[in-house]
Amino acid sequence: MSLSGVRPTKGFLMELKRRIRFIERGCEFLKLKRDHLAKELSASIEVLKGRRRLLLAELREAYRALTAAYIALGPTEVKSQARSVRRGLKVDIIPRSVMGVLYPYVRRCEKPSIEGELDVTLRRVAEKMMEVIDDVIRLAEFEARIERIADELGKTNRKVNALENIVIPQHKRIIKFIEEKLDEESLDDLVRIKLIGGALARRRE
Amino acid sequence: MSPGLPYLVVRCHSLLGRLLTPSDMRRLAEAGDIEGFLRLLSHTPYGEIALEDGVDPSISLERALNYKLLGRVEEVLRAAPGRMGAFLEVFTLMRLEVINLKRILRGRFTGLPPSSIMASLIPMQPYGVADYGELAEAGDVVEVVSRLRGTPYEALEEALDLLRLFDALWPLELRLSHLYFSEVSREAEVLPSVARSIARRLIGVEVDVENLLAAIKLRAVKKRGEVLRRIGEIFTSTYLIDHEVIKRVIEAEALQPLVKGLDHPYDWILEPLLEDDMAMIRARLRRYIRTLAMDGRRVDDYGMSVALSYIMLNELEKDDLVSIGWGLIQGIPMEDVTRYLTHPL
Repeated sequence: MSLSGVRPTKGFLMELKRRIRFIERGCEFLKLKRDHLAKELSASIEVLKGRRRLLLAELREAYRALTAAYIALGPTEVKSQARSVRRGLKVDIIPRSVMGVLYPYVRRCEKPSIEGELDVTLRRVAEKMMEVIDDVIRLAEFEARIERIADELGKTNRKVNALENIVIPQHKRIIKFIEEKLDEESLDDLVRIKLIGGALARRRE
Repeated sequence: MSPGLPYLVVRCHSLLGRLLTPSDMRRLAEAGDIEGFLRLLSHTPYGEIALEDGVDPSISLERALNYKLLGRVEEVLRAAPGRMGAFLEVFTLMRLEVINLKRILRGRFTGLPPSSIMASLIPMQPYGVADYGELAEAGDVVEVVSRLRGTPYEALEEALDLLRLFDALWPLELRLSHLYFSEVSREAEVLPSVARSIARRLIGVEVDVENLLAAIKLRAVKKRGEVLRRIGEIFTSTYLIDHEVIKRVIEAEALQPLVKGLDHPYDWILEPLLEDDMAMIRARLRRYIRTLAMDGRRVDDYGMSVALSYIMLNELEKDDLVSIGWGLIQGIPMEDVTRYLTHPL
């Protein structure tokens, strides 16, 4: 906001003061949000590291079982049996929110039906994979949540910085400018009143 | 006209020389990549193998090795005299056809396009059915089964009730394995007694292990009570493991004491179950079949058993080569592959 378009009136000054109070309160809220998001983010990153380590171990085990199944049954047989599963995995993605930050929540609606259909070797792999898939879904959901929180933290930080370093100082400058202008004007008025008062007194004499 | 059993035996003895030695297998396992594997394989009796373009290389390799296996089987079948030839046809070709029929049934069960079903089949001339394409194009599983009327698989129709009851394909797949066992047992009647017992044992152990694995699988189905009630209908063929044992496996709270209480070789074959290594069960089954095939040769080296051994050893060798090739294509550490191989390295 440049000073050229500023109306140095009392009404405008009051409006600006009301506005700056509002902005400062908003800025305090944003700082609170930023601190909360930062705390949430650092805690989530720790959890993510742990979950990833666990998932990698589970994946290694599942892949080992899958490798063994391929060797035991042969690639064509594995593919043929895998295709005999009638119901596949179905998921719903629902939005959820943490401190106003939306992130996707994945709900599993339908599990593949492997009951009795697969060879025991492949069935064990399928069971392991289903456990891993659940964890992969939860991890993906968690990663998306962290990503959104990090995005929101960045945005909030930028907003706080902009308010603290640009908007509030600018408003304060304008308020100061208007107050000085109004003081000047009131001084002019006082001088003018004094002069007029003097002139009127002289005429009465 | 076939020159008779002595010719078949001599022919099989000479063909046995084509099987890979442990050092051949080791070299192939250490090939490093699939190109090296194919190069090394070209210096063996398998000769050149070219992988098809646009097809998953492991599937293409398996198909090529199946062709080679079929070629070798046909050589034996051509040399086999009269009814022994008929038995060997059932023993080998029906075995492969049962695999194809299971794949067709699975494809129709989930509504796969016929072209995908056909691509998954072992590339062989139909043995007991007229045309695989016709079966793959059937509307559903029931239609596939009805198209099998007048073939050795006609009795599959009796398992349709179970298909409806459990809303699953496993009763049909199990019945196909049982049909194969009954057919081989029936045809084996013409064989000399030593060969007959070896043939029955080779297939019987396999059927028993299949039954035990099916029983383990069925422990988890929702209609377990129905499975127990209709056990005779579900497990139509057994060898040394009878319905009582199968029932106990399905009902047992814990498998450990049950597995340990099984007779040899079933206790040894199923032992990896206790360590949750299901693939090792199949590896051990194949190793046991290999031992049986080798033992068969020892007791009947100048009889029909040589042909049975040759065919079984070829099939096991093909499976090992498919595994090694797959491991190389996928970049799997070779020790993860070799622990499941049948062939000693």
